[in-house]
Amino acid sequence: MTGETQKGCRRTGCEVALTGTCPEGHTPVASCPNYVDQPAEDRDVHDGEFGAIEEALPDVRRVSLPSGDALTPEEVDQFLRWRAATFVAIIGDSYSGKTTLICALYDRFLKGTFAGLSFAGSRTLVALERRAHHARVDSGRATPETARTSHLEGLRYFHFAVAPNGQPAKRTDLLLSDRSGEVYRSARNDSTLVGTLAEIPQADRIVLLLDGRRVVERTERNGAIQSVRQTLRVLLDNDALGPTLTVWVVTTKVDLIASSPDGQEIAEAVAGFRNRLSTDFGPRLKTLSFHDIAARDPTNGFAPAHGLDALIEDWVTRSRCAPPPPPPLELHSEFDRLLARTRMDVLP
Amino acid sequence: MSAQYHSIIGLPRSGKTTFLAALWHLIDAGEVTTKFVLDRLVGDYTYLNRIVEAWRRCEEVPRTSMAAETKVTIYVHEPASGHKIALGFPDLSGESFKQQFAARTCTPDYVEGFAGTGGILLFVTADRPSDGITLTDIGPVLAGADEPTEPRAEKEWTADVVPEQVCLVDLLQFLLRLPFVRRQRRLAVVVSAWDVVLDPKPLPEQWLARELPFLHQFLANNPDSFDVRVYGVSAQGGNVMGGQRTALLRTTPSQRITCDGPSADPHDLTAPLLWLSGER
Repeated sequence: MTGETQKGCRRTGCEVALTGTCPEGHTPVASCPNYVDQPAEDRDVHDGEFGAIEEALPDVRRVSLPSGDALTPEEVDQFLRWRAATFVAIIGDSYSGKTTLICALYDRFLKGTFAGLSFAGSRTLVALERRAHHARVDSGRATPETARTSHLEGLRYFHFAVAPNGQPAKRTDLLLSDRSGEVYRSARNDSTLVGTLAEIPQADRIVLLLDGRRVVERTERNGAIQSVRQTLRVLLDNDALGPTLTVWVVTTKVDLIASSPDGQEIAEAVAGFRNRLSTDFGPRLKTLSFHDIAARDPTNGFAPAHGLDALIEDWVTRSRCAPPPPPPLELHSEFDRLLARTRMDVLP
Repeated sequence: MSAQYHSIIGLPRSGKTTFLAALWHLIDAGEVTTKFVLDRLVGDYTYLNRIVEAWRRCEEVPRTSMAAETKVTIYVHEPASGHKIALGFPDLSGESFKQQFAARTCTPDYVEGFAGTGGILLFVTADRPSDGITLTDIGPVLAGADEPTEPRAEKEWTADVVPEQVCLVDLLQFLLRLPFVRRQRRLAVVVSAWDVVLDPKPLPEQWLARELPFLHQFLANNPDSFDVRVYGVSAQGGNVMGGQRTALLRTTPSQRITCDGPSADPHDLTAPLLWLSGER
């Protein structure tokens, strides 16, 4: 045993060492939680190294504590038995900036209060730290990047509790959805998948991201715009969104748009897109709003988390949307009709 | 005599052991007036006497290794009221807290330590490097650099790179859920190495809000769980590794200690303990 290590995936059968690509879609590869230092040679626990066996066994004398990972839908159910939460579904194509938006909010609270709000707690600090790592100096990177969400991870939620400054009793627990953009693309291609997007009917707010980087590129611009339009359409046409819901269409990376020599042309294209979206889909929603953000401008032309203050203020200050009215009662049997005739106020 | 065990939380090099050494000298020597004085010397004080020797020589107090973790009990009484208290401190190494954050486990003894009515001493140090810096934060610096910086090897995420204030918030969040008993606890934040804070010194709470804003926000927003006071403490009185050491050695040992905070006399480290023990 030399003690030498090499990078590799601990998942059986993973070929990242050969291909350099993570089959779960993690980019950079180092962001995959399974990509770790491993012994250069497999340990043989039968060669008399009982120390190795002891290391492999969990220490039953220690008490398990919460993992700090992003919450699964089942863990969200447990959370809701503890306290109510405001759900925000963040929807967009791959690389549109979903996770970066969440990390920028987190980084902003690390530096102090934000938008009149202060941090009150998070059950997902480890997950937030993992995602924020590739934008930190400690990562060794020269340029910031956000670890991409793998489609194999499914639906996860990040938790932030915030309260207005000096008013801890007015705490709001936000649960921000996070899932791979590939899944939303698949739902656009096949509307039968819309029903599997559990985060959408649960959401109090929908945030639909228009990728600013693609908008800057002429060849990509119309594709980016159309993907947002088609996503909104498929969600509305398949009853995932209703007339009581507020939808924000958020253009990300506006720092790239602002610094583009085609700024005027881009502004006109985005304005036209917004007008058409309002005309065609606005009446089918409670509110359709548009907003610009620059979560992380590397040139510092925009302050970190630019534009996110308006979003989080909306998430915590607006009242929860009224649930849709129940469907009309259909009376089929004599028992149904008896129930309809019964005066509820005189029942014991 | 009532016994109260106060828990200590702090990452490596946050000043836990130096505080304990200075406290032991302070209440044993009787050189200055303190809110608590030593009541009786009963038990095994080998560990305390070992760390206090280094403190008296104005040397760096040896850090507590995980192997050397020990639970110390100091019997004191409050001269003003005659009230006798046994103060217990688990002198946990900073590494054990790092490990708790990274491995998401703790010992049953640690859980048991929070079952009583004692409070928490949370240690942070004013003599700390910046952490959690983003590439965006240093963007303007890099942009103004004359020469391109050398490319560095990318590092994967480990718990070691997590900012101190994030670790501390998570360690405190553990206390809000099972298996810990959920109740309001008094929590004294001890900002060690207070001597390095430049004059005019802010109030200790202002320093906390400025330097560890995430932790400060968390504490302010959880009043049902934590009743908080912040103290600035210099247990050594200055930098014992530098030119100040000679001057410090000339000073009466207890008088090189400074404590800045609510109801604290200038050299009295016992003020936060008195408050944790129930003083209003």
